[in-house]
Amino acid sequence: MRELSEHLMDLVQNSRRAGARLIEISVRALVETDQLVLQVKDDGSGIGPELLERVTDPYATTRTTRPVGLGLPLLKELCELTGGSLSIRSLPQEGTTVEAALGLNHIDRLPLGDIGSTLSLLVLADPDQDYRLVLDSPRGRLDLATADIRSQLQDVPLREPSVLDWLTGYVYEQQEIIFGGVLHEITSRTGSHS
Amino acid sequence: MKSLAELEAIRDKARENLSARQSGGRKIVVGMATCGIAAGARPVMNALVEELRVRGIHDVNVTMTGCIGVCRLEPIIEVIEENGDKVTYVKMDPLKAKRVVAEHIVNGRICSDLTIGAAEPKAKA
Repeated sequence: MRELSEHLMDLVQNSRRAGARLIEISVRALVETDQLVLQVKDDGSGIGPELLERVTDPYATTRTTRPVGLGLPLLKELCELTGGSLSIRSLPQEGTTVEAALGLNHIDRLPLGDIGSTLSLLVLADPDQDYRLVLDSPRGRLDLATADIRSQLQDVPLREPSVLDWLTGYVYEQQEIIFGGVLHEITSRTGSHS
Repeated sequence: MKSLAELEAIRDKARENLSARQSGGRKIVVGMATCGIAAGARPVMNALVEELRVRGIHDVNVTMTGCIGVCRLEPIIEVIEENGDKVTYVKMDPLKAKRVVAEHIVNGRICSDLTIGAAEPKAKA
């Protein structure tokens, strides 16, 4: 993975497969403790205690196409490389919360990347799925729910190209305002909308 | 600066064109599991969406799926026709994705050199 937003995309895929109705994504910069905390919380089917115990083992997976699952192990490795940690809380039938704490100013922390297009593509792929996105730093806060956008749009579908364009651009701008100064390299390393 | 208030204008404008849009049966599926994402599936999906938009094609659904099973050939996309016929393209990048839209989606010519059959003649698609 080249960007943290790609890890977020990966975590969200797990939540989608768990049949979540609402998937909450948050990115918080805690400047005082020098941490960048990514969290994906869902109300999906949850993980049983037995799988939960070995869920960051690369050879633990629910997929049937091949016997390895690298999403969580890769993220765990990245967290630990930057002096942070990965924690997973889950209860069957209630949902799962994955929290990745990374060293905010650690040299090996990947840039945040393009969260706007990540969210837009997720909405495009499944417009009925509900998301909430929270971006937070001492510079500002964004709290965006697709349910609110949907009600504002009335009969116009969320996957309408002009709406997705707006969503990508809006999140991009907010990300720059909220993280541009605190996480300076994030915007300068992201480059184009890709 | 963009704001939520803008959505109202976007909604009203979009409404004018809604009736002209019909969702067709064709779709493009992008492999978006760990393997796909790590290999660059997101920029590929972005390029597909962008190229379809630029060309004014509204009847092709672009969506995501999990691991297709041939991780070494990611990013992988599948073009699925209304009748269920499927073409699997492998080792995609944004430029190849745009080519698939131009040649396959618009002109109906399969990009044979980008298919899984060309990448691995013995592999089953």
